[in-house]
Amino acid sequence: MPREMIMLQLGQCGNQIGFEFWKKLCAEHGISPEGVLEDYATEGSDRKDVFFYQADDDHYIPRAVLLDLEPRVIHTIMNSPYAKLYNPENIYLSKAGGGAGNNWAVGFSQVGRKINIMHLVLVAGIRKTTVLDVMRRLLQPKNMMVSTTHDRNANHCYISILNIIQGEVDPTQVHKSLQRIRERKLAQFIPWGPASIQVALSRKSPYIQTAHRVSGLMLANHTSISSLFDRTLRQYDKLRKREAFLEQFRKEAIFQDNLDELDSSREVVQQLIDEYLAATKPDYLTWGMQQAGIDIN
Amino acid sequence: MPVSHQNALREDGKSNLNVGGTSNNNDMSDGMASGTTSAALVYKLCSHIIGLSSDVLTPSYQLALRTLSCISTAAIESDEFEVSEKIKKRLVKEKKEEDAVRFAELHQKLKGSIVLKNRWAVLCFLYNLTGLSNKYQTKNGPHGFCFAKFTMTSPLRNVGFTNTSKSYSNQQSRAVSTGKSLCTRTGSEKMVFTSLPSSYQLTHSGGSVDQGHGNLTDSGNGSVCSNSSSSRVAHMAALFSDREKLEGILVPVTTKKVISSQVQKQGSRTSNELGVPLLPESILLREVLFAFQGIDGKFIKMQPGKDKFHIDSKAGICGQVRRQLLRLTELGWMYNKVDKFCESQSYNKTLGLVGQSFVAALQEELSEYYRLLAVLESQLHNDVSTEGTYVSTRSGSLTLHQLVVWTLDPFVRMKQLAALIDSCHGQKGGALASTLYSYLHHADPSIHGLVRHVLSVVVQPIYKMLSHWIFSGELEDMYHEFFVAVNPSVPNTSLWHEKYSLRKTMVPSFLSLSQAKKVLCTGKAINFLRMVCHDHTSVRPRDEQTVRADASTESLFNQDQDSDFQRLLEAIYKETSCHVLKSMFAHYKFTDHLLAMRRYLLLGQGDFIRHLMDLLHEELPKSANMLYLHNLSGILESAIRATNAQFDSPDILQRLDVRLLEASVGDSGWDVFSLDYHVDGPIGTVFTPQCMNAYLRLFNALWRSKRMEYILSGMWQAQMTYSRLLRTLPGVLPILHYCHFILSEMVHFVQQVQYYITFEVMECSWAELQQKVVSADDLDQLIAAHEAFLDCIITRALLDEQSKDVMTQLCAIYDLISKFQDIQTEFWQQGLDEIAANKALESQVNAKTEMGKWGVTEAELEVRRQKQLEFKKKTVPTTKAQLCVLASSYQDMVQKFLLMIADHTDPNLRFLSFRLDFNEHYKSRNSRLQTSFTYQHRRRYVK
Repeated sequence: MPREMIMLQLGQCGNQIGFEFWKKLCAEHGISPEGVLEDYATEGSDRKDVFFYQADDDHYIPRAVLLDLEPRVIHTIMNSPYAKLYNPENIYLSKAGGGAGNNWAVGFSQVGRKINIMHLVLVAGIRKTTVLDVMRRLLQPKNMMVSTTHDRNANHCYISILNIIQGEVDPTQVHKSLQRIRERKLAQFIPWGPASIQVALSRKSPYIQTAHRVSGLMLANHTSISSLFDRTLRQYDKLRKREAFLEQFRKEAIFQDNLDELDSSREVVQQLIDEYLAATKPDYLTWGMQQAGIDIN
Repeated sequence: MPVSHQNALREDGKSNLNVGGTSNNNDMSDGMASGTTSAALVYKLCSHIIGLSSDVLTPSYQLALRTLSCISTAAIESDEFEVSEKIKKRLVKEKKEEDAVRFAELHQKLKGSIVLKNRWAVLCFLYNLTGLSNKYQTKNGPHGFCFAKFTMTSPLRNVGFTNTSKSYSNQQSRAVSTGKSLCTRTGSEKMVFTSLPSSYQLTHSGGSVDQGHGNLTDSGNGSVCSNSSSSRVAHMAALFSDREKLEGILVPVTTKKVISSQVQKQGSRTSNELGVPLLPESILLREVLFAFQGIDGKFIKMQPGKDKFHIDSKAGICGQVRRQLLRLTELGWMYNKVDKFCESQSYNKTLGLVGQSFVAALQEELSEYYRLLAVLESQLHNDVSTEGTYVSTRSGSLTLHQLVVWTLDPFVRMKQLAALIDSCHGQKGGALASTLYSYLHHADPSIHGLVRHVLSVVVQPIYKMLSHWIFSGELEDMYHEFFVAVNPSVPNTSLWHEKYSLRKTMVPSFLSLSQAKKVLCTGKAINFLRMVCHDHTSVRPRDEQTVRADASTESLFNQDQDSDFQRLLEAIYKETSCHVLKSMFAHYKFTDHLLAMRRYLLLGQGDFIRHLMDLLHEELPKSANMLYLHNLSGILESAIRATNAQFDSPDILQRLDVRLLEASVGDSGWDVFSLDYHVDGPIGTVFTPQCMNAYLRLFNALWRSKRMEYILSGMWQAQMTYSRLLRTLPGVLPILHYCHFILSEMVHFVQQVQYYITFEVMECSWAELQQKVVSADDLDQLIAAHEAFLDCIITRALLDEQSKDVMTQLCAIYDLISKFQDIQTEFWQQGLDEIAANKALESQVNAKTEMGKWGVTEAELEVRRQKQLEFKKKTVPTTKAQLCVLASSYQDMVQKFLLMIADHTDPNLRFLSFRLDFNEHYKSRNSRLQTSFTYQHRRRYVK
């Protein structure tokens, strides 16, 4: 497969979500917990090799690498019916076994790699009967997986939206739904550039019976995520002021001389918050040019 | 034996309907064998036939006895052996030796039996009958043959006319019997029953004899036909005899001379007034009969140079009679016309089968006319020849008035025929049938019947061609008379579309255009199966007779909705169409190929297209003439192997190929590269070269927009990778920000265009096509659905002629995207070079410092500083300026593009503008766009 997909499952949360994800995927493709194709799915024309690869004995194996510093979640997985699904060679546990204890400096030294997440995403999922209903409800804050506080000072808005709609959908319905959303102004978009709701349609698995005709998943980039970072940053500042937990960090090589890494990280997050706030305003472009202009001088 | 006697007896037998021919014969033979008992029987018979009380019966009875005794004296031989020998000899003479042997055997058996007492009489009677039927045969021979042929080809007409002839003959026989009773009542010595023209009697009774003794003659069929076709003459005769009955007086011969001399005296008295002796009526009648045959007589002649009959002005004919004669000659004139037409057309080699049928139908009518003339002639002849012996009253012989009355019906018919000739002249094939058909809806039932008959004869060849065509797909149309035309030079590849066509002028007007099209389609489908699909098993060879049984010729022009023909055509059309579709779907995998078109030529198989683009990324920026097809084919092959395309069937993948379009100067590989799909055989009928051309155009457009998406995603990746490195350089941040800003706008644009094409255009039209493919009734509908699909996506993807400007604008936007890529790539390169130079200097300093030397000389440092300054003061502002220009022209172009699609006549493009400006970003910047989508604007534009 060109452009192969490899799933990295990191830490407690990553592995827990990953576990549920593979359970679901196996069910949708008619693959048993052991990785063997179910009898009822042998005639299927679905492409399983996007997420799985086949071992010599025709077992389907997830294209996933499982990483964790502490063994609890992975042990749970390995004691479940899905234990035989994964390739043991793709599972990595810390030899120390104690975990990082919420200290990313420890994790940094153990794994030896720095992982950056650039894109911040709001996720919402909904199941309903019509495309419009699904798309409308996806935009409701109560259905979102990230809760952000309402900020009175900023006019927060969507930068981009992707809706993945699964089920029997008439393509003409999508257009009508988008029209309705625009008419009712259900989604507030950035004021400085063109933006819209991207829609991807996907087929439903024939092996799973659901009560809902249509289900949808929304991935969106919304400026209000900055309030979350802002809150985190303020909490960090409080801890930093009191020098809480810093002793643990100073034990690691990276922080032995100074705490510059922490300061520059704070700077990056602050920039992110600023940029999100700037993106809520129509003069986002000029803001970018001016802000950067200070750097030159 | 006198013919008239025999006939009279036969008519007797016929009138006694519940007594069959044979029993009648027995009665008669019995009567001849035993004197007194038979006399009683004859008496009984007479009373039964006449149905009157005994006192009126006596003269009839006496006549009957006389007649019978007359026969018995005629048949002298009372020797059974002699008669049987005669019969045997005759059979041998007729080369029926077998029958002779059989007769001897049967005769021997008969002798052993005691049931039949009067064997010699029976044999004698039968023998006489044989002679009679032979006479009939020879006299009626050619016509009988002609009608026999005719009957075989039109069952329905036969039935219809047999019915009418029956009623006629009933009527006629009733009339005859009444006539007979009247004539017997007079009880005169030598009464000849002349009321029935003898030739007619002969034909008719001949027919009934045949029915009774089918084994004695083998012309049973022919006689029945002659029965039917001579019905109109019979009708005439019946009329005549009715008239006879009305006048009701038959005077003994001796009185006739007196009366005729009285007539002559009267005539001469009238003529004396004019100074010229008046011509006797018999001469006039002869003249008229000549004129009826188109022959010049003594007084009535065709006027030379003028197309009309002229009566000699010096002839002794009074004015009233003259007018009457002129009116009568009109029939002759019309006969002439019809006859001449037939004669001239029978030598016309280009006439065609339909025309020939028309002539045949006319000739058939003429021969009936001839028969009438013969009847009249003999009537006239009888009058003249028997003048010496018999004398009848005026009413008994032929008169001008009678002639007028009798020719009334033939007159109307002949007139109609002449009219038909006038309007059909020079026409052939279906057009001729159409013209005839226009005369069919005549209120006069006799004319309706005539036209119907002629039409049914004329339609024969058309119907034959038609059934041959719809059952076996073969065209037998030497004279181009049929409404399906074939162009033999067309190759099988375009058989469906070009080889057969509708010859509109030859479509008979009783067929609707949709019927004609169905006929065309059915035969075409058979040929398609045979020649293109090589499917010879498919078409069942049908028995032509079964076809005829299914629908008669007349149902062709019977305009009922549920006529037999309509049902037959519908059934065959459905059957054949289903077969073709089944062959297309099951054997030739039409749907698979359609899906392949969507997957590969319309870029439906996303992973394959993306990977192909990855692989071609190195190859296609080359100049178009530097590309090698075999390299590209190899790349295509590896793209298939690496993606889900590999799971497609080998037959489909084999057809997938690379094609390079015609290159013009300066074209790069991107401009000329195209995928291709080879179609041949039956599926090539749907995927015509035109369709494939449309697919290639669509591929080109979709491929270009896909490439834009590809470029932009590459640029996004570069931005993600390099901006982290480059942001350390002074003054670069605004450029990074700007690039990001422009890129996101372009990504939005391209994604929305892509989305529009994928969903609003492709997916919707595809769904529609799928539905039509499933519900298609015939191949034409399938082809039409496919073409509609292509037309629809060509239009909505802005590839039609009308959207040319919009497409140019779109291409200009794409060009700007490419330009943006160039600017950004160049800037990345300069930035990366700068970073590399800085790093190189730094590492040089470090290395030298470690070696204990000065890190860097002032000059070296100065060079670097100069370069840094150049980057900061020159590269950065230049790039910034370039980006500014680009961004503003890009935004202008997009806004112009939006305005153009707002002005476009196709309302479907609103979907695109709706998507492109979903958050009304452009609308808020451009005042014209604010009004462009309002209803008023559209209305104004449409006006």
